[in-house]
Amino acid sequence: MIKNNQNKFLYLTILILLFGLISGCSSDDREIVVVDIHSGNGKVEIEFIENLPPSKAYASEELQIGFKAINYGAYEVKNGIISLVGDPGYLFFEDGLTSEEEITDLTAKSNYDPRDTEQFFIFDAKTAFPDKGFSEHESVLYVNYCYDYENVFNDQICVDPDQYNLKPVDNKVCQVSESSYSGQGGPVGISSITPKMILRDDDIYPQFRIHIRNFGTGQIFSTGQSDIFCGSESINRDFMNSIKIDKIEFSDMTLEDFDCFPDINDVVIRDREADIICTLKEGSSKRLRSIDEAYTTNLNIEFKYGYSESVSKTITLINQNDMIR
Amino acid sequence: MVTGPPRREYFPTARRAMQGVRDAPGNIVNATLGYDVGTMTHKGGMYWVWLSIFLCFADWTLLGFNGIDFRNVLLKITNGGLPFIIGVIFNLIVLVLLAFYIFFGKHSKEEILNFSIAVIMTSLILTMVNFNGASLIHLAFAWFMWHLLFKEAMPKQDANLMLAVILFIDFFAFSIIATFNGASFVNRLIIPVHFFFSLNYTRESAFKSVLVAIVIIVYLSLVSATLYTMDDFTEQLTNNDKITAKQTFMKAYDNLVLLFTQTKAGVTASVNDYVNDTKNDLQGTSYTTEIDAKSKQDLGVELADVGRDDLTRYNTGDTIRITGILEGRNIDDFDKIDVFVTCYGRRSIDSKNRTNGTVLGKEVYKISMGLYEEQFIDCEIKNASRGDWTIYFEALFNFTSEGYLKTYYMDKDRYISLRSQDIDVFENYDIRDTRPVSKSINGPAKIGIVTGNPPGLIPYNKSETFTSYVGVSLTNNWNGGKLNKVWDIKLTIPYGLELTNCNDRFYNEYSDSGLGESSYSLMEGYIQKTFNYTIDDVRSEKCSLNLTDREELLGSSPFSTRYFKAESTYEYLLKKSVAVTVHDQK
Repeated sequence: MIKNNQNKFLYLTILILLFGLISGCSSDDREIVVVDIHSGNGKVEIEFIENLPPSKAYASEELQIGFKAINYGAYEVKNGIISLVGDPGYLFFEDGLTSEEEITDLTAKSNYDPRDTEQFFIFDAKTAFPDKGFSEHESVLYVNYCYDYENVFNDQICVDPDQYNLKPVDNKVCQVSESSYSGQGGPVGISSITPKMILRDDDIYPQFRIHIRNFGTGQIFSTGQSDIFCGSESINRDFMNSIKIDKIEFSDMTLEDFDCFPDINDVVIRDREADIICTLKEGSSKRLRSIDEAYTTNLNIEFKYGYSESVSKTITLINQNDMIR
Repeated sequence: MVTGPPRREYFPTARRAMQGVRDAPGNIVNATLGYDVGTMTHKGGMYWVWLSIFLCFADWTLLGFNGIDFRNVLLKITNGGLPFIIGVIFNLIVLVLLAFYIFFGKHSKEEILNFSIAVIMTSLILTMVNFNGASLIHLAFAWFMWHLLFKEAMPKQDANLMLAVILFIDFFAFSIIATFNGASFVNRLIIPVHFFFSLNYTRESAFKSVLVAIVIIVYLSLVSATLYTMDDFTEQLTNNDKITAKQTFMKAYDNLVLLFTQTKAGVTASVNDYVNDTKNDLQGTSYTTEIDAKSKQDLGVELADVGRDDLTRYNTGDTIRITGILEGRNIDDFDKIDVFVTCYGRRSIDSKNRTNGTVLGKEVYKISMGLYEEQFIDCEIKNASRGDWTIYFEALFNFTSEGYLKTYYMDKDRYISLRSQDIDVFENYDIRDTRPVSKSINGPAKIGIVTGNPPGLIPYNKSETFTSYVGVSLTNNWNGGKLNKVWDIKLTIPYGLELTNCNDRFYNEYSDSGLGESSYSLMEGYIQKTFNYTIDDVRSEKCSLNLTDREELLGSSPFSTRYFKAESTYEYLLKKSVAVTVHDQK
């Protein structure tokens, strides 16, 4: 009798648990959103923390300057440097007129964690008011930041042996045409790709015109030069506005299989734009066989560059002597 | 035989000469040189000769007037444009006025013709060339001569002709001769036309005779010396004669030239020194500056509430009493300002004479003003005479004004790299104050500082030159006062730069890399030299800058913000007045 009761209690418990489990598994109407992290023109941006520094300060006051560097882009920040520049005679740091720190925590986004990453910076500063006859002085604090960034481009490109429709076919899978893009998750990205399938002796030699654009307002430089760009040294002009293409993959072709112009190691951005034309090397074993039907295949391009921007904040320094007049 | 009263007829020179020969052979000299005593009206006083000499001296030293190049008139006419159109309109108006003069006045044809020539020439001079102060003085001189000398000395038509002739010679003749490579000795200094006309038309006197004799001797020696250098004469004289005469006259000529040259060089140098000193050092340019507008009030000393102590009627013999409040508005309470207060009065009918008053029992009252102090001041002028009086309070004090100018520097190569990519450097570095202007405290005088446009470009290579400058000005900031004397100007520039070409004015007080600045002050000798000159409204100094330390100037950032600072200690005279009427005692 007791055993029966125990069994009943056990069955009831299991039933309740099952009911609860089934109820918890009820369907949700919300869609699962897949974020394309390699899109847009996100970059590192500096946001001052409210009241750090305050908009007004007095002479001989110790201030804290706080801001966060937010990585709105898709890639990891490497060799990042933050350099603060004070106002000579009015606003200075422990080290003097400038103070510097490295950016270390701005990691890349992933499909599992597409959130923007942040790093906080706090600097101690001190004010002075050497001009005793003035009531106030507008001191400007500059934050210059330089870092290495990258760009990853992926898209399906059409391979069509009859690009100019000399032999019209119904229901062609794809057409070779220029594609435009609004960025791949960084301030510098590919804005268009113009593919061309060059037919030679029944073989297809793919050619791509890659248009690169600086979508932001910052300055591009060669990777590994952040300390120079955020410092005062003379800049070697060869490092200015120069990016390096690291990877081009199309079907089974790699970077080494292409002839590119200009040199992929020194693509110079002029007026915020650059064009690179890469063609499969003549006689390459990886040339495509001419077939009857068109098909699509993946094109992957990656490049690296350095990027530099500046922000400023004005602090009104108030002369205490003037206040009592 | 001539009978009856003296004739009052006038004859033009040729006719007059003939008439003179006919009437009395001895009159021919008078007839050709001037007017027959019988026909002449009044001649001018000797002061015209002195005025002409003074004008000539002024041309030589200050004015530098050398007529008008007639080619400029032609150029203006051919170029056309607005100035030409305005000139044409002005001349048309003159012509219309002239037409009224001709049609509505009763004048002889000769008088009208001569007057018209003079008026049209004046109108052209006024409108068709770049008219200046020197031209105005010469134009006015000619017209005064016409009005006060020629018109008195001769009939109107001849006076008009003389005016036209003197205008033509003075403004055009010498430049025409110079244009056509005329003789170098025919210039306005060797042939002073005003002087000759004045000498001719002044009254006869012993002094005039002496002056005429000197002029004749000087010109004969000049002409002789010139003629003896000509080959045409050589055949008629022996070699010894030629050598002796030539040596004699050349010596005379050389002496005259030497006298002229030395006098001119001496006068020109002293005048130039004076003009340069006053223009460049004591006057100068007032550089743009922003007054510290947010300062609560003016700094310095203020004379407030100056007025009569009551509304009583002042009668002759009364004591006029004026009161005021002296307010000290110093920067801080540690540096007190010594203020010397005086008062005096002037009567309107006798404004040149000053009657000193007493301030609180003393003629000069010294008050030390600290921060936000005020002092009652009281002035008495005893035994006032009848009339309208202006009573002045004056406060004389020393004050120091400060100013600064922000600017930017950056590496030249970096700048070129950015600009070659069409990147705006200010936008790139988020610099919003792209064209900073200097700022000055709100004192009696304001400091203005100027330097080259930012960013200053610093070359990496030392062989590349860095050129820049810094200028500082001190300008009167108050309406009721005057910048009296400048005691010192201290200029602080960013470390890494130095003042050049200013060794006679500024000396380096210190250069401190820790402070990041180099300081310069005015040299004692320079202050002494300029101490007694009156400054009207502005005084400025400008010096070149030389790069001494690139790294210090640029710091460790892509661009550097740097400041030029200046302070000047000066003497300021503040003046306030009040009107008082003293009546007759009834």
